[in-house]
Amino acid sequence: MNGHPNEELSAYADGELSPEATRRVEAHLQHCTECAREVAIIRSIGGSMQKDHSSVHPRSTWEAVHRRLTKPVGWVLIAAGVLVWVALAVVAWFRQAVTVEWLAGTAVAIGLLLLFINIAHEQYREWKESPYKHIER
Amino acid sequence: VDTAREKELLSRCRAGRTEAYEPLVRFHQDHAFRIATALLGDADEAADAVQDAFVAAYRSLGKLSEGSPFGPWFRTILRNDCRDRLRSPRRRSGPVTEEALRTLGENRGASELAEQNELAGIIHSGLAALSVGHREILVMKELEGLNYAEIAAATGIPAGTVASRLHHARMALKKALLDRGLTMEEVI
Repeated sequence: MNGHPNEELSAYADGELSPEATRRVEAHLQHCTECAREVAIIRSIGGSMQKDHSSVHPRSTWEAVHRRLTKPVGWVLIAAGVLVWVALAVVAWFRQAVTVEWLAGTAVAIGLLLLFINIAHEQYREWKESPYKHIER
Repeated sequence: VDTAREKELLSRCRAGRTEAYEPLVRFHQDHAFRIATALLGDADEAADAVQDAFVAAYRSLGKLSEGSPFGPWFRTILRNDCRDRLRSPRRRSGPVTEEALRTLGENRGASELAEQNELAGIIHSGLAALSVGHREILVMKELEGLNYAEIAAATGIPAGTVASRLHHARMALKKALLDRGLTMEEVI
């Protein structure tokens, strides 16, 4: 082999070379201490990264994930809807315009509006957190 | 979490049982955090990325085919999240701080921690010196244990290019480690 097999050294250390290329690199390594040391470095770099135990994950991950997954958006919307409905009913009562039909009509209208907001919010959240949003189809 | 247990947990998660997600999060979180820290070079940001990836993965479980393993799919989501963060113009940058590492490893002995912090700091700072593409390939190989064909499939680049970039990434990291005061013997 002429010269050093440079790029093949990584593939050799990873066991990704063909049997023929492996034999060729091994023959070179037997008489080239420089390349043999390079292979040792390549292997130790992986070992050092794997042994990096300082990267211990904070213990509160599950709690934070769980909180986000169970965020009570629905209850907040329902509470807001009821408040709006009661406020409208009070105003209408002072104007002496309250009827059963009016109360039912506004409740249905507010309910549909909240449903639309909730769906739009879910769609937006899904889009915002989608890891594939930058990938063109 | 073995395959059968994972399948059962995923099935319960798909049925909306949030609590079934907990064993999966706890099983994958340390590995995920190590990957995110290596890619982002910032422990706080890595914690945010891991959290975001777990939430996004849960909400996208419908896209994971029945019987497919959760780990590799989740790590793809995590890498994409990290890549987005690295591209973000609002991103705060900087290496992992001593303070962050101390907080994260508070259950260890002081001398062991100091030694690991020093090595971790050098490794993270060396990784930060690489380009995002090189760093990502190195992380996929060394921390995720993917082979060249799997890296090629995940990144969309030919296997030959993966081999070449991986070698250059390792040589660049070696140089960065030597530049930061490690001797050749310490690297080995």
